[in-house]
Amino acid sequence: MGEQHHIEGNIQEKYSLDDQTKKYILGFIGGGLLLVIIGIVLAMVGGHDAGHGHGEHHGGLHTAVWLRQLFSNLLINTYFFAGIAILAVFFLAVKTVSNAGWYVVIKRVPEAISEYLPVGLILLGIVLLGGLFSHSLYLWSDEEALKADHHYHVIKEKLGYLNTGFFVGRMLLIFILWIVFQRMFMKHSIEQDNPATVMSSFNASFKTGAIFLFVFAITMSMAAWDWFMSIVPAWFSTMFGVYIFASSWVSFLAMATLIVLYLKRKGYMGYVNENHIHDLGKFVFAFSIFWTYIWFCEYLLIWYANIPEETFYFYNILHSPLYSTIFVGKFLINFILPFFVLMTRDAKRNMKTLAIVCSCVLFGHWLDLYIAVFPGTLTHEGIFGPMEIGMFLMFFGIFGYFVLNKLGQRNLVPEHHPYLEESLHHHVF
Amino acid sequence: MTESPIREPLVTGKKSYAQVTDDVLKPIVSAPSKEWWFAFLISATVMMVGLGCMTYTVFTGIGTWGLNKTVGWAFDITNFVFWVGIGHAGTLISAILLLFRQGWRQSINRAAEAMTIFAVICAAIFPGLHMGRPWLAFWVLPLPNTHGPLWVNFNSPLLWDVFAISTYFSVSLIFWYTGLIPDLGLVRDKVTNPIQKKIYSILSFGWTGSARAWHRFEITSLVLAGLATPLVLSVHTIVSFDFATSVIPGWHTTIFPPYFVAGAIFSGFGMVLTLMIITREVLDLKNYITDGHMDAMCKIVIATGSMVGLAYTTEFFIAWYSGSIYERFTFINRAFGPYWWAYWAMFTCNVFSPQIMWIKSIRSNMKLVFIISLLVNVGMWFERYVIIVTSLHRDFLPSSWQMYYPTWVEWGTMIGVFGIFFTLFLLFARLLPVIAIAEVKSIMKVSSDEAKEKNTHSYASGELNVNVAHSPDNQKF
Amino acid sequence: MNTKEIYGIYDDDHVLLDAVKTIRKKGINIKEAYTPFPVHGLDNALGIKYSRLPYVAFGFGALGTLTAFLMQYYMLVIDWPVNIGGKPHFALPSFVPIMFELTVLFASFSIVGAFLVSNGLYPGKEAKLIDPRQTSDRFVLVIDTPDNQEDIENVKNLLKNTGAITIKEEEKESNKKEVAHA
Repeated sequence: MGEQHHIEGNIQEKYSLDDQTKKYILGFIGGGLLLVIIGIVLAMVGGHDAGHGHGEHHGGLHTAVWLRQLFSNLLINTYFFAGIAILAVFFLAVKTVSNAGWYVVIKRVPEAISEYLPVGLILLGIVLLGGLFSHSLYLWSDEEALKADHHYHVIKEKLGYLNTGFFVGRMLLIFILWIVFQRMFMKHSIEQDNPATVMSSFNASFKTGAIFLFVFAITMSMAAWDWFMSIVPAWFSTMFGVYIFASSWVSFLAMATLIVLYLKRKGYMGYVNENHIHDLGKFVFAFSIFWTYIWFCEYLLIWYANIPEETFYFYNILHSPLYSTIFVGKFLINFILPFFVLMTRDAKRNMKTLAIVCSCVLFGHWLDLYIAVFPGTLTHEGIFGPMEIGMFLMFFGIFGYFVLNKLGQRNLVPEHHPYLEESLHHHVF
Repeated sequence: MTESPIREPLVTGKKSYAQVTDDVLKPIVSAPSKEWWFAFLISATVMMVGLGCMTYTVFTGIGTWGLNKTVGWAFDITNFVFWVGIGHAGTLISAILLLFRQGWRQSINRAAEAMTIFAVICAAIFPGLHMGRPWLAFWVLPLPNTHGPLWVNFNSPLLWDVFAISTYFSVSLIFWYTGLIPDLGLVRDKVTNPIQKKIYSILSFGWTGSARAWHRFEITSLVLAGLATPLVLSVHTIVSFDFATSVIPGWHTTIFPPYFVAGAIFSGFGMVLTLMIITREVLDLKNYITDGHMDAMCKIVIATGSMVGLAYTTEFFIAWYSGSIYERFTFINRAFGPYWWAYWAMFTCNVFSPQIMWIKSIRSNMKLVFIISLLVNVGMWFERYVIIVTSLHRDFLPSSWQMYYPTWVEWGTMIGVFGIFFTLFLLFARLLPVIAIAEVKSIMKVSSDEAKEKNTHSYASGELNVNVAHSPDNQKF
Repeated sequence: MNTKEIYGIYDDDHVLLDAVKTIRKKGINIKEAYTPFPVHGLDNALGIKYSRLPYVAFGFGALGTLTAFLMQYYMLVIDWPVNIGGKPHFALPSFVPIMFELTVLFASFSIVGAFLVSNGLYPGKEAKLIDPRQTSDRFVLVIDTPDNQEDIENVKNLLKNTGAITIKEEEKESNKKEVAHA
């Protein structure tokens, strides 16, 4: 398409949730709930009783298996979507600070996603506290189980950091900081809808973005250590914060792309042309490679040095048929698929291809969290069944409802944004 | 192409295309200035000192260095990693910023890429010398042994380095040269001296600038950028593997790959700032390398400096969190042991000094920025020194604990390599266009000050050119 | 068939771009355009198809991966297996870095090679310039001279009306003669 002077679509349009989508969302939540209940019943009937693992050589948590399974699933899904929401704030910050213009026409999508953050964090907070006090997530929170664990001599060195009071304090600090910055970005966004305040707010948003990036770097690493790395408290890896960040970042990019494609399919966003779609595709493509880089480097270094203090983590994963299948599977879904499918320019501009790849990648990064949680909480009793699938669908429905609802509250395009014209005329080679 | 009028212009001075040509080619067409000769003679002298020390090392052996049984890597590998790191900013500017469409890269990418190539040459000197018998350097290649087909060890990160550095050097070189071809064509058509004309004619490969050639040129640049981006990440990643695959506390840590890459970009931008502040002054290119360019680079220095700071703290925290007494000792020893001064020099220069550039008035004071850029270079040199020497000097056996003291030969080699670097850069600044002329011209219609003034009026008063009809049936999916 | 070409020389890229669109709308074929820098949108305006050069890079990249893998596998697993740090002979993770490097090496060299070959560029090739300033600040359009005089005048008028500052007609090889000035 060379120079585009004609722009399709209506930039004053507003989105509204239609009945068909509502039905789908209800279906996700209802169906998911049903599967979760089936899963819980199955786990309670077929699972082991509380106290299993007492004195056995593999150690680990003592709480009933079904409860651990339930909390593991809750942790994965509450974080998965809250993570997508905080990475939406990160996206807005990066685009603001780097003075990007092309994204303005889709800016409402990350904004709507970020609006899920307060809800998501409240849910996550409840799950973390519940997991902590029912001893179903963190070995270090259960003194009795901890003392029986054969890694006790190492873990006791870290109890100054891994203890309930400090953990909850850090959690609240992270939550407050994240929500404050999310609100600040929304405030900027609302001010930028008003022609009188748009420029002052636009200039002020640089500072918000820069400070947020600084705060985010620290809080994100801390969140990853606290919520996921401490599930296997004896293990440590300096890369872990970067890894969880990379995983959530690709999840966010895939999710944002899917929402844009959904809106286009519903007849909105006529002004989002194939060049914007191409850029979103490039982002998913490039950061899938980035994720793989981080994942592979962490694995390679631990595999290569082969120090028992670290290697046991991957050893346990690779010697379980279920975990090792998922471990290899997520590599195929998160790297091989996007790499080969999205390599060509045409594929990145084809909405159907992109939608399929993004859906797969989204699921693939959900599996990252599965591998980060299950081998720690359920050890060799890991399971992948109706509860896992149901919980994902349920939260997907809840997330979708919140985000689409927020999307409908404002115009789909920030009409007064100083880079709107650039974005509308966006053309990439 | 449309650009918002609120973006700062990337080319100032209301230049015409012909003026851009004349401005950038001035150093090639005219005779070198006194200042240039002065700088060149100093650099060449320093280079000769370095070459002398290297010759002495090769003829006498690396016993002339201060290495000992415990500290087997020190100045040599510190300098190697330092120079490889410097090289990274060039590829970052030419590749990653191209993919992210950061228009301000156009005026600095040529010089930054040249810097990359010279820095990699400087880096390669050190492992070469450290071999002790550089004439046997071909042993690193996968050639069968004379006593039978015993191959090189592909499990060794040092061999990965051989492949990574040589790939990086050759790919950077062809990337740079491909970008130079159109500008060499311009130089050929501009110079009058017949010998010069002949040389540039050969170098320019007969470039005429046909639309088809430009189309292929742009695609080739994009693909090369796409390839160079993971390549630049892989190079410093593999350099970090030299340390991180080992079991030495302070070396074996999983964050090394991205942390080394961030550090490399940080130090590279430090060096780009140092060079650009001088170049734009001496060659009178302030209309092309504007204050806006400097500002953008300063921001990248702040960002990468903070990332490096985050990595330092992460390492320190995880060393404690690991619960391993060896990890904990190494880090306490780094900060408070005999090499405390190196650690704090690193921390101050890399983490604290760039932070003052959050203040706009400091970012726009070129003297201060110049000082900070030098501090960043010093700090990043110390970072490698800290990683290498402090991790080694306390061995697993306390009986072999030793200090390391560099000899005059090592100092001479290190300083001499700076001479090589600056000599090459000064020659580049005289013989080749330091700014990618064609690329700068290609953004002038949207990003120059003149274009901005022209567009502001229509932008402010004009309605958005948008078809208001909402047509849901019209969508292709 | 005429052996001559008409050249329209412009001094501005936007004028050139509009000229190309106007001329092509009249059904006149533009043989080639020479510009000092890549003019945004000119390739589309001239109807140049998106180049297939990236496929060359992909093919050779894949060849590079394969070469690196087979080389390491042959040398470490088949020809002379050595126990290194107790690792398996076929230690896939440590094959990856070199596989990656050779992929990039092969892909980069192949695309630059293909770029030079497809443009017919080589060291020492003589550049045939239509205007001595076409690499600096002049933009040239090349049109095959039509057979009858009326069409020739039409083309020349069209070039002039679209903003060409100089219009030349020449034999395809050499034999210069200036025809008209604007």
